[in-house]
Amino acid sequence: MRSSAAPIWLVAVLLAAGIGLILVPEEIAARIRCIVRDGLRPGQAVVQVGWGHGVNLWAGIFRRADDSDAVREMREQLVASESEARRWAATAGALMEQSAGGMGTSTRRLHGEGREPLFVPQLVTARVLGEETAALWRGKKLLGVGEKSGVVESALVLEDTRPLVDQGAETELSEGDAVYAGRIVIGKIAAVGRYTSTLRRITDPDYTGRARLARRTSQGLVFGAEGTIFGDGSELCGLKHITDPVNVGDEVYTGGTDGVLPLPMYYGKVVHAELEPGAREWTIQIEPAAANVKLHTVQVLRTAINPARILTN
Amino acid sequence: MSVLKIAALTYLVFVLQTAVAPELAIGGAAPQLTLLALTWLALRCGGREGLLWAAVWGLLADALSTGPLGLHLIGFTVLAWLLQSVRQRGPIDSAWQFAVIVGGGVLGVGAMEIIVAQGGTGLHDISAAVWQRLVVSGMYTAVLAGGLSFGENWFRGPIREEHSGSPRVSNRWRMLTN
Repeated sequence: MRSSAAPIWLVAVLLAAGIGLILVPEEIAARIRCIVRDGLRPGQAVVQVGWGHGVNLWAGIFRRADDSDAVREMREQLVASESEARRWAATAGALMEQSAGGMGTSTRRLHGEGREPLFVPQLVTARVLGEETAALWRGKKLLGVGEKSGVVESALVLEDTRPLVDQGAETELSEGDAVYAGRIVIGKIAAVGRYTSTLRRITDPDYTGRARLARRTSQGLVFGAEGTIFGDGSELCGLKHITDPVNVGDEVYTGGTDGVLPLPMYYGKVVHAELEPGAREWTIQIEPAAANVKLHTVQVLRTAINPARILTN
Repeated sequence: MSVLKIAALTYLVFVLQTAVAPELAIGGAAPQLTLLALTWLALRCGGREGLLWAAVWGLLADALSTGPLGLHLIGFTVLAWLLQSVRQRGPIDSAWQFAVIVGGGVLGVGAMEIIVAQGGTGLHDISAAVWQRLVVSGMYTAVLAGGLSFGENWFRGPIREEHSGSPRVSNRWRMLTN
């Protein structure tokens, strides 16, 4: 006797339930998603650790000792040095701009000028646990931090290159302007659960953010026009609302800061810039620096109330 | 299979799909471990149990994707019901049969995702790369399914329905008729 198929009425009931779920409000759907993601977090963390050890073991068997270790170390130092150089260039550029009277609509205050700022930036380290189960296109990355760690929606997510002085330090939380200036922007937090969140990459179709052009001159990094960076699902990002001249090779940093985060972070470089006949705005394409970043851990930028202001008040 | 075992399998499959499958992607196409395991489960659990578990897996897949809730629930339910109907016609014994069924399931569910994502209109706007990735994902998962099924057959024998074959006859009856 073969097992029978399920009765047709049960199939109809389940299909009706599926159609009903499509009509569920987005808030309830988001809540269900957060619960499921939080539930999978322990298993994902265990599997990620095991997978990492397995990959290292496999690589250790097949790679030559000494030479490749030295090359890898030099490569890591190079990446850290580039990140450090970009940090200093961005800080110097922002200082120069402020001393020249500033540009754009927002007033920028650098940390340490006059009274202590009310908010201070903090970086929270987050492990990348996996990816959504999208069959055909890249799903959002799943991160192992959520509300409990103070992560909020639309928080910027940066690459996890530690400054040279911090390499080897196992810290979960870093503070201060210096730690985020010039860092590569990976994306933003899309949805936040209690213990997990999802990452919207800068190349995803629904990513947008304020961005500024910058050019390296003999006087250092000089910031220029501000526009809106957006993703379209391809490997490149677009930049719109720019009417000033643009060159291929110009760099793109975050813009639109409100004084809370006065120093810019890095998006990438302009690879295509064209002003079509009769158009006011340039057609600009950016190669994101995040494309070359391996996502094992990332840093989520959050703001916290300055303890010094609480004590003095 | 007991409810506890299936629940543990559910957790394991979804952890592997989210944490490991993206690392195994070829050309952006990751293996669909969820659909592979669902096919295996639907061929083992008949009737209402198999269908209900397919619906639960569909809901979990919805929660872990960016599409609307209910989409994968519908897709997985229909897939499980079709698998049960196919199984009624005859046992699925060989690895290649299992691989073909898994590959077909991935293509079917993937096509449903594409069509719904486009809102049923503008299908001509879907790039060839998306269809190519679907086909690669289907073939990849089918090869993986075939390999795992071959391995299972090697160690345990062909996939059998739990209640297939002639009914057991007790020794007492045989003794009486003899």
